[in-house]
Amino acid sequence: MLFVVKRLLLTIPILFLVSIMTFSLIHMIPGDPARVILGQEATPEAYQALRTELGLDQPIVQQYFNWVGKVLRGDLGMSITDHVPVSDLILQRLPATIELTIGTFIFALIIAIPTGILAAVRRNTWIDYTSSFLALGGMSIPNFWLAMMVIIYFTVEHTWFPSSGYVPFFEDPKANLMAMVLPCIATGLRESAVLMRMLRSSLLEVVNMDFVRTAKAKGLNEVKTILGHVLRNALIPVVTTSGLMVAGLLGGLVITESIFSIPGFGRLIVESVFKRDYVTVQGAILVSALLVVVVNLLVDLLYAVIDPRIKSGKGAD
Amino acid sequence: MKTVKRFLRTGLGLLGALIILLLILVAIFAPAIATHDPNAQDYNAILQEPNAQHLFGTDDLGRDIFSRVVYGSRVSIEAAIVSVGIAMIIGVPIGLFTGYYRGFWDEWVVMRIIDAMQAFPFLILALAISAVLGSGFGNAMLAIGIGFAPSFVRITRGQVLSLRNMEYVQAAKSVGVKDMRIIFGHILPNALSPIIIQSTLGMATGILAEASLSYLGLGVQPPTPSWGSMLNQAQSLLSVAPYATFYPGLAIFVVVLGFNLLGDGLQQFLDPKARK
Repeated sequence: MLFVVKRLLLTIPILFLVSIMTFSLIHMIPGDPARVILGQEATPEAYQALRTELGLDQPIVQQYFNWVGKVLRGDLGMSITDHVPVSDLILQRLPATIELTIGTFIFALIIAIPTGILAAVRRNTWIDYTSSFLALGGMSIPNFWLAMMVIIYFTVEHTWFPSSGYVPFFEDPKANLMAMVLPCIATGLRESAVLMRMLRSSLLEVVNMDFVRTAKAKGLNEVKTILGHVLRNALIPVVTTSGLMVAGLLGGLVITESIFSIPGFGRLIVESVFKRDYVTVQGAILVSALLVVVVNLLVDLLYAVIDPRIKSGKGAD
Repeated sequence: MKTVKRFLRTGLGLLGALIILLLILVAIFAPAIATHDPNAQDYNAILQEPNAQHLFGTDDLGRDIFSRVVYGSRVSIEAAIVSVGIAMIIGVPIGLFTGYYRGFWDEWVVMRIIDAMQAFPFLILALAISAVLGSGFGNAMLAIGIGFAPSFVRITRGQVLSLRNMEYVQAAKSVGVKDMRIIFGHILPNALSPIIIQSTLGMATGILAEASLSYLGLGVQPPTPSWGSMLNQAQSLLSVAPYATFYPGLAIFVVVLGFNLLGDGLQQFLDPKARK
């Protein structure tokens, strides 16, 4: 319980700083933000109205507290170009991104877990060398290029999957899943490479420990030793990487969503950047950072479940 | 000589170094290697498949893709060096000083700011900074450098924390050596290995990030050839000219792989734990 409270308290200063950084964004615009948003030809009335709407006519500290107050009530402001609440825009876009994140993560796990275990168990054999080299290759592939290559192969040459578009799952489950296959492959390959490398090195650290030798000496076969003893003890760094990955994906699927025309959260940010809708950019960036903070918190709490030594404050070593 | 031999034995690291050397040579001798002016439009040679005259084919404006890929290497090298350079200039001194002096500023100000910065997904942070400062290569580099600086702070600080209590540092302190001299003369040289490894891997990330921002239209602006912006322009040609996307992407892949291989090789070479 103490661990949970301590971890929750540590989140407060991070949230405070995240809020300051996000708030500062609109004030980092060189010159007057209202002038930059409206352009030089805007009438003085429109300019003044936008300044009032953005709260730029108030002292900066006052602006910050007003903004934080609104954020705490779930009000992220009004989109400058779409004239709808930013929170509504984000809520509309999040489901597609969450689905893509889950799909990508599942794809990455399916590839990473068997190859990671195999590479560690067959260390310094051709299996290890090949999978490690392929993983390094996977980490080096730009996902937007891979996305184009899978589109060329699976859509242009063989019309197996649609190249773009998104249908909500509850509208048409089959069309939804078909549309998600290519984006999940394009993004998941790199993530699987990262996970596989982490799992391999983590397993190699555990595999030579005394308790593993004892398990083997007791006559346990290799599969039971790996799955029952080694894997659980090697999981902590893998869970950390997975957590960071999920958090990063939730806010960072910008490119995949752009290529496959998925109306997700990342694409909302890109569209808002080009429309100079700074209020939406500000709100979306705040949400993406909050997602990371929350996922990291959940991952830390998960540690305590995986390794009871953390909960009791004795550390993992 | 022994050291060079030992590095040569890392195999894949050597392959990475060769790829990067090749990239540097291509960037330096781009005018001699390119077969055409990378920006010259030839409306009689639009969307030609790879052939003897146009090795990688031509794009929808009749520009030679091979020559654009060759010149694009310059942008990628610049991106790698400048973005990691900015990140190191910001991150390494902060890591050195906070790790050495510790205390309230380290624990409650700098490290919490680093935590908060790392809460923003890397590309989103770069995107936001580019959005605010405006598109263009310089701003993209600044955005990537700032986004990447926290990792240098963490790595440098971690090293300093483990080195500050070493006997040679305590000995230097006890004979009255000034803090600055201890930090830059004694601690930094011993903390360099992980910083070098991180900067090599960071260059790979820098190239990918530049290509991503250019792909989104926020990095290098047309007509300057950059691999990311070439992919952006070729995306609409996927069904008619797949080669227009293949070669720039392949170039990014090979170069990023080169930096990753070199980073891995250096890790094996410089880190005794990884060597075992």
